[in-house]
Amino acid sequence: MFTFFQSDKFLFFCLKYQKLIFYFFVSLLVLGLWEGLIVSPQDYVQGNSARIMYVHVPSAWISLGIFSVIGILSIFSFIFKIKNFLIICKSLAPSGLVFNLIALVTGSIWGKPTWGTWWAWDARITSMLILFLFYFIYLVSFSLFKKSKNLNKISSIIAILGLINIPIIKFSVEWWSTLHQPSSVKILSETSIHNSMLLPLLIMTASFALFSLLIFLMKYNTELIKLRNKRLDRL
Amino acid sequence: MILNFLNMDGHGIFVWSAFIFTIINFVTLHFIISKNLKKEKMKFFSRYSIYKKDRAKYLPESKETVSVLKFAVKSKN
Amino acid sequence: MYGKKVKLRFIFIFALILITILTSYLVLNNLKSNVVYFLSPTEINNLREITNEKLRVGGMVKKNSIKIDSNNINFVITDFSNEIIVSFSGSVPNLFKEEKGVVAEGYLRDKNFFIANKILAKHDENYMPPEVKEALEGK
Repeated sequence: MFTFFQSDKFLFFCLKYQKLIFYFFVSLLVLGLWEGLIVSPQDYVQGNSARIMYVHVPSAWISLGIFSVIGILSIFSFIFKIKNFLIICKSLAPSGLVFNLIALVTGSIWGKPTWGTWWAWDARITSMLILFLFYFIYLVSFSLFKKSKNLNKISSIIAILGLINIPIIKFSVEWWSTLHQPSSVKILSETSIHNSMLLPLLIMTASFALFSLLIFLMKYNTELIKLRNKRLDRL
Repeated sequence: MILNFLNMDGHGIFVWSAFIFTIINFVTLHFIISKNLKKEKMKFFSRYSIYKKDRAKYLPESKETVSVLKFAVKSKN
Repeated sequence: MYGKKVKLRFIFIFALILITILTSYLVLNNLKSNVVYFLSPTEINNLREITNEKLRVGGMVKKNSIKIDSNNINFVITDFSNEIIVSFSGSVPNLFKEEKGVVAEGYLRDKNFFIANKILAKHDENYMPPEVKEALEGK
């Protein structure tokens, strides 16, 4: 599998399916927006403001997922010095950062009509903000230490340190009393979202995931061509 | 009816601003990333004048392009 | 199988992860009072002394406890073992209702009386359409 990622087959794959993924993403997004804004019912307490969930929750999930992947790949790239993993991590980070920003801002917009405040320093929100800072520092490290030999080490250590934050975010609503409500969608027990509202949530999650895949492929492609340009320069 | 839908019992402004914020972010991110990709591709083609600039614009994702990229890697070894 | 340097790096990462987990655990444990967003009425009851510091009390609004007079709203926050009376003047969020979660920010007068200057509504993780809720209550 690693040889597949390292070979030109992967690049070929990117170029070939980029457009397909884009169209698939747009159609899923339109379907998700239709389901979320028009078809799905109101919530019995929150009314229409619960619809913000359909952008807030998928963004939060995906930003968490992307950072976990970056952190785990960074462990391998630090120990075994796999350059390709570093490039994959670098290409994953921008969409993770944007999804994290979306989760924070839409959460804030949701907070006003439901809680009655834009911002609260509770454990969930603060730890999400820390994740955002980690994303930011991680991305900045690439341009700061562009020419340093230790780029791999520095960026990997930032990602691994940030990895500790992930379980804190996940369990913050269970460990401490927070203003943020506990998770509704659970893996082990029954979800507490009615099916008619779960459907748009899942569609939106799928379309957001496709979007981050698309951005990743484009960014990864850019990085590979950059490398090639550098190699050709040396000729 | 449309006004009713847009208003969403007074929550409309929150719901719509959240969704619009999301879409704007998507468009901006996609724009920046694709711009960079194009820039690198153009650099690649212009530098080695394998393709003329105007042709590269129309053929950046064809099979030939990929083979050129492959060639570039092989030529390095 | 692997070189010495790989093993060294592995040990380094392992130690790094261990140390960060330990430090974050210690820091979070020591800062518990800051990490916790609000105290329950039971925790208020267990406080040794009443300070003048701003704090937050959270719990459920007791049924039939909301009393509104000219410019004050009084209600009782309960966690089903202890209760505290809250007095507040101002506008409450839409989701502020009886038998729903609430967080009040303000100052303790004594262990049973709290003067709030901000009320936040806390909602739960359940999402369902109103008709389903009615059907559930009908049963």
